[in-house]
Amino acid sequence: MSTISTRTRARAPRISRWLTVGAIAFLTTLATAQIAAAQATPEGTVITNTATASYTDANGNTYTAATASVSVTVGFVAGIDVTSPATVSPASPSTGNLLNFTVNNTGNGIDTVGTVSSTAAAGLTITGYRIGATNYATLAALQTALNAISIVSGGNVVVTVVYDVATAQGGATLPITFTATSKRTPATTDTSSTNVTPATARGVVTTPDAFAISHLPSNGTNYTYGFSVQNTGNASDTYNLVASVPGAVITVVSVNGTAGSSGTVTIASGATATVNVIYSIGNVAAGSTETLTLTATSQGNPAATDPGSLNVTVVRAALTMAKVAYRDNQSTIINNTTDRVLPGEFIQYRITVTNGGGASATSVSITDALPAAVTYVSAAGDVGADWAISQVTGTVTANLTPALASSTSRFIWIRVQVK
Amino acid sequence: MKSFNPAKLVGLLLTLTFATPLRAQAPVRPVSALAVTAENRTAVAAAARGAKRSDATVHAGDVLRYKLTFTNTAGRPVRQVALQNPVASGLQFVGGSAQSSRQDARAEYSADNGVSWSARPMETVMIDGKRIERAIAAERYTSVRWIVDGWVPAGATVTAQFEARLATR
Repeated sequence: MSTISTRTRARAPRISRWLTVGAIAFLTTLATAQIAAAQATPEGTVITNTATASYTDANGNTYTAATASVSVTVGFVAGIDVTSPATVSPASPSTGNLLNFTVNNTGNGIDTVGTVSSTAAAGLTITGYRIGATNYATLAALQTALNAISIVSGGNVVVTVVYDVATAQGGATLPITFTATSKRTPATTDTSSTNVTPATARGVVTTPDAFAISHLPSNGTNYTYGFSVQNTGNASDTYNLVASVPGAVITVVSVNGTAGSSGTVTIASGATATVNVIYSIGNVAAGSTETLTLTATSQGNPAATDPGSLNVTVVRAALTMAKVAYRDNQSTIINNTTDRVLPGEFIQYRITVTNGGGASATSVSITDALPAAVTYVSAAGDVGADWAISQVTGTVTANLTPALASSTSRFIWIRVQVK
Repeated sequence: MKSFNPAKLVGLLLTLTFATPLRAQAPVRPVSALAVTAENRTAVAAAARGAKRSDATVHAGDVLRYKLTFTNTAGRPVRQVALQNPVASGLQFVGGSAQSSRQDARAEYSADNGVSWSARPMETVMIDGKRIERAIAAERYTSVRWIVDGWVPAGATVTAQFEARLATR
């Protein structure tokens, strides 16, 4: 930093403390003069310029010095200087924000604000104005009030602009301007502009959380799950996406179209994007579980991060089958301990297939090789249309067309005659 | 008998005739030996452009030309004529504007209200601990004067002028 001090060389320098004192005194005078020069001469000031002439004659006679003066009067020169902060940073969204514009009378006489105008960028809404504690709903009302305020030279009036900031304006630069004119000299005007730069807030929410889902082992078929990632910040943001699993049940194939376990997504403020995670399930036992977590992290602020998760349970179909012998009436069970069948008697077998697993079973097929002591007569399914039943040389085959859902049973009847 | 030399007598009489009245001459108080006028050069220029001012007031930034007219009303030649003009408060001297009708008039300036005078006032400043001598800006001049080295004949005039700007702020 430079420091400057001055001392006028009035005469040849002499080293004495009196010189120092004189220099200081002069500096004080000089500083005062500069300050005085820095002030506009007030309107109405009479400046009198006085000149003096002195002379002598041939004999060294001195004469009374002649003086003469001329005066001029200082007129009015308007001066308006509107000042305001270079930038302000309210929240987005926010309401009732206050921004002060100071209208300085830099003219050399009393003046009044004539017309005023104000502008605000998209994303901002001016809701009113204030002078002191008095509110004015419109610019016209403000102008009327200002027209009644006399501002002395060097004085000022502070106009407060009240404004709202819309959502999703984080990091934006949104100027507000205010223009004031001199009432005495309307051509004299000044405008000040303040950039409203709402602070950027980052946020993200990833859903679902611990959502339970069951899957068969992939066996070549990948699964896709769409996580919802919402930008809860007030500015567009790009998020780093990481899909993770703790074990080996799940293998992540891609994230948001990018092979591997990571990717990115850019989301506008307030919007939600669906991020597809493609994964496969290993050939593991039914009941195996693993959590697939998708974590979205703001690139603008790594502290803004949120995970969503799936709790994946591996399921498989598990079929059991029961075969019961009935009398030909299909209601009386033949007890092999107490009951007997006779040659030539028609009896029926009811074969029931039950899916006790967690997944549907498809292509369910029952094959029953009939005992040699019976002769096949006919067969029917519980719902005829669902079964395709055939018999070849004593072996009955029944194919179930619909899938056998978990925890459900289907059955067929096979009618035979005891040889 | 001592001879008489008329030419020598005439020379003596001439000496007495002119010398005595001059020694006996009391300083006179001339009437209107000095006149000063002011002209608003900025307003004149504006009027020439068709932007005539509505009144005769001066505005901040206006340049005023002050003209000093000294007339030797002493009835005899005079010397050591000095025309001095403090720069009025609110005005700033315009550098290079001092002029005179006499070639032998030296313009000098003061930046300390007439305590010291110089054709180019200097000041010593300390910048970053170093002593530097530099010229004082003309705007800071507080006075201007002209010193005429030669004689000014009786009835003759000497004019001098300078310009000053009404400080803007």
